[in-house]
Amino acid sequence: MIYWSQFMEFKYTRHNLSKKEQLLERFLELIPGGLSWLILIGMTVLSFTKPIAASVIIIAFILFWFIKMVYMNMLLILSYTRFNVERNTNWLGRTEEIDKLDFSQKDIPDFPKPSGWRSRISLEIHKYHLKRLLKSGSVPPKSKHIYHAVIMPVVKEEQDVVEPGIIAIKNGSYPAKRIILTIALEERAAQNIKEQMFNLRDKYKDAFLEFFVILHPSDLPGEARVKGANTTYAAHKVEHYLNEQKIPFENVIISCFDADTVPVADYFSCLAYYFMITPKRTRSSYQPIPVYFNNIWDVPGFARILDVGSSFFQFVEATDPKKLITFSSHSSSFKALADMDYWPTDIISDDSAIFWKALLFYKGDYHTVPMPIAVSMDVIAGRNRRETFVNIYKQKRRWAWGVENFPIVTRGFIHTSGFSLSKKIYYTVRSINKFATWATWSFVLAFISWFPVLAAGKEFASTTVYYIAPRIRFIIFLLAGVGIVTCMVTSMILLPRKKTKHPLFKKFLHAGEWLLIPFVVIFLSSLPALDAQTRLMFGKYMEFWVTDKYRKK
Amino acid sequence: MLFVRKVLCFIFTFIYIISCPLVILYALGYIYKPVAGQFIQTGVLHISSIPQNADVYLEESHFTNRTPVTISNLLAGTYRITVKKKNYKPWIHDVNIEEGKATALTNILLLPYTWPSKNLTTYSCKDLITVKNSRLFIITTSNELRNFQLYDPDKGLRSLFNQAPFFNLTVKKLKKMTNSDSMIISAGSFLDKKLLYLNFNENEPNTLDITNILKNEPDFEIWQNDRKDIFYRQDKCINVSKIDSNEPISCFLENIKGFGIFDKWLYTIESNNVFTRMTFDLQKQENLSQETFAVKQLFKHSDFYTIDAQNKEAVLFLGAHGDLIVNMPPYYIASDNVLGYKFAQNKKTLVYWTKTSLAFVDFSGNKTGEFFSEGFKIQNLYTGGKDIKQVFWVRDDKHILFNDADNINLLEIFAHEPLHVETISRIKKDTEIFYDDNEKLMFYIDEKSGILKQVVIVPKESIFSN
Repeated sequence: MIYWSQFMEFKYTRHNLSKKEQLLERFLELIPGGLSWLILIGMTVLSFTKPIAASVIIIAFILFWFIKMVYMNMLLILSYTRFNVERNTNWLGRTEEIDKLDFSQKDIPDFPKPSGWRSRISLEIHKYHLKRLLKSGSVPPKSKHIYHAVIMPVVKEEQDVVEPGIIAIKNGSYPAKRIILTIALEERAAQNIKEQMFNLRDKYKDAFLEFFVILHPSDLPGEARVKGANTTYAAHKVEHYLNEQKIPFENVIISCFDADTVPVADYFSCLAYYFMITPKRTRSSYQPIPVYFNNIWDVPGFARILDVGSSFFQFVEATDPKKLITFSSHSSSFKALADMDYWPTDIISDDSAIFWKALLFYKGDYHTVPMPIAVSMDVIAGRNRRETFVNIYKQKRRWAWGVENFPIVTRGFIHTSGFSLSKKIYYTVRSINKFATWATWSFVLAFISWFPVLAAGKEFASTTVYYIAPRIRFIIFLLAGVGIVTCMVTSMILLPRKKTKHPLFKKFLHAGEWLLIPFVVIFLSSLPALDAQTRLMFGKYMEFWVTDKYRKK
Repeated sequence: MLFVRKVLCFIFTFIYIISCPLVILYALGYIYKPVAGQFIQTGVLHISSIPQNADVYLEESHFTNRTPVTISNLLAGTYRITVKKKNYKPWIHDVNIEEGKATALTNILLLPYTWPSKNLTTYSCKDLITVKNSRLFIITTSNELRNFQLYDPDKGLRSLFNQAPFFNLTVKKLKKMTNSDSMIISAGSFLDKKLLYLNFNENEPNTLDITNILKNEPDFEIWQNDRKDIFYRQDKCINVSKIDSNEPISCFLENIKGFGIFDKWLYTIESNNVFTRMTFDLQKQENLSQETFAVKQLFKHSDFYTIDAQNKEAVLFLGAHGDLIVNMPPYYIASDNVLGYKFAQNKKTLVYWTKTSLAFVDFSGNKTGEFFSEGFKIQNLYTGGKDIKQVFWVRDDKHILFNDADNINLLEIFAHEPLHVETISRIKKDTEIFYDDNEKLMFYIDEKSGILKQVVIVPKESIFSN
């Protein structure tokens, strides 16, 4: 088999590099962590040596943080409204409307005016999408010719974690007979896990076009013990099947789901719609909004707040397709992935790595399309609060380990021609900004912003800044409370009902949990990010750690 | 949605670009004056008081916020500030506001119309004797040792000598150690004179008869090293009395014109004006005067100097004629009449007093980097005294409590416009006062009744407030 990736200028890996490339890689690995530490140490030193300058920078920073928080809150409301608008959309029906589109005509057909403001907005968006498709002249495959390949990597997850996702796919609105379900099972998995997965296959195989359980041998050459190696191995087997069945890759959408992912009933219909309606459908990934609701009421408050916050962040990200990068469970064109030989097999953070790999492969012409639909996953849990805290910390550190992509991508930018310089600069600056922000914001807000006043000498204590800066900070923090209230209200609306005697009381109790946000952000967001960046800086590469997932039985 | 996002992004970027410089300018004290059509830099005034929640007046304007309060956007100039609270005397002060600067009037101690006091005895007392470096003091009702009582803040008053062999002795003279919480009492009759050593280190004071080892009753300062040996001057000699071994050493050091003990060192000025320090066994000696002409000239005003090396950054020399010298240029703090001095808690400032005045010395600005910079700055605090005997620093080193001709006065330092000095009470003639800065309590014998009284100088609930 010949993969287009063989002709790719740049190999997406940090292994087996030439001496010169190793040096460059090492240098680039220093940048994110180095910058974060420079900000933290620099601001601390400045607070003690030049407190006026430090105070002015901190005021500018806190004001920026506040305005950005208000801005993001508005985007959250906007994105949630968009999500809400599409709640009752008949996606499968819409794919059939695309089937009927006459590309020889300039205009789209008339649609009957629906009742209700949500449906009307939804229709307007649909019409806009149709016009854009018509204008592009990119004829999509017919909806009945579109197939979904779903890969679920499994190593430790038991049947009770995996089965709800399979049932959800089976019972979804998209015909399961056009879905190829694959459990990518690690050969090193425990025997009982293997048996459970094969049992699942036997139980549900008749419902799907195909149901594969593919055993991934351990320690194949060129592979690390990462999820990407397992899914890539499974994808090769699916590719073999597609070739056998003569199903064109252009008609297949591949979704790589975490084992605990439970897609909503309309997920694959919605995905098929967005695949069809996107002009450059084979150069796109499709990103649902990952929400962590499967066991949201079974975990401690701090875990709930953190993952609801993560979902909010994804809602906000979904408002800008130009900036969106694949994250967690997502889908892609099978052709795009096959051309570039699927996921990197030696990178831990493959969720975002696949986007970067594709961006380099297609020389900047690759996008992530946000979809107004959710996939629900598990919040990381443990047997007790302490274990939950530790597991969440490890999971967030693994997410933050996405920083390992930065040196590889930057090297890729250097070595890939035909990719516009402005785009390269944009993505590089954006990545650096993202990592530095992630690791430093909460430390600056919670600790360093106090240093100039705490370390004030006689000279600084006799300046107006000494007295006015804390007052400004107090007012801004007070106003920032409005942002937290927005999060409280949105989370109360968004979260599933708890099966309890007093659901309303529980929801109010949950609203109060948002007061934990400073603690959660410092210890379960910034600290793991700084930890991951520091590890990369010192060349202490992380191993893949399989998250423990527990469900209340 | 992308369009809405772009519009929002533009709006918020615009808001930030406009608001950020304005907020920073505001923090730096700038306000926009539409009439002048320009930004003007202002100053800030911060006022906090003890007790809190006092009304603040700036000239005639009354502020709605009570202390602690920060008043911003003040144009440069002098303002009269008045801080008022019910049952307290108004505090009035002229303050100069500078552009871009903040003036802090922190922890203004509001003085009550009636000082909260408590009687500690029901009977008349003769004297109050303080003990160096101790929370304890002695109250006497007569010169007999049986009538010496010890005041302990935890246990109150109790008898100091309640049994033989000393309690029937009559005290002739009492001499406090210069550097420790011990004293020597000369008691008994002319023919059977006893010299008693009293150590207040323990809660139960320890008394020893040292008549045999103290050759003479010391006339000048007496010193101790770790509460072991007693060092005292006689003519140009330093004698030592070893308490543990019951052994007197005459003329342990000779030709001495200055002396002091701190930590493990014995400091001396020799007759040739050389300043030296040595260990107690005299094995190790260091010449600290560096043989310069200038240093040798310093110790010529007095016959003898008491050396105070407790503060490493500022070693002081108090001459018999009241000349106060420090080991940094220009060396002379005062040329004569100084009776005593006291370092503030921060050890960077001290107050010294003469019979009629108080002055403040600041050692903190001795690293100015100027070519001919002075090592310290002196500022007169008070000049209207009659007979200043005792001085205490009060809370945060912002007030001074002093005994002037049997009046107890409280002076707020650096508040000269007008001078903030308040008489708290009159005390019995020629008695001492005791001030406990931890508890902010003052003890004295009342002039009229002779009763031992306690006055709260700073209300306890507001000691740690800002």
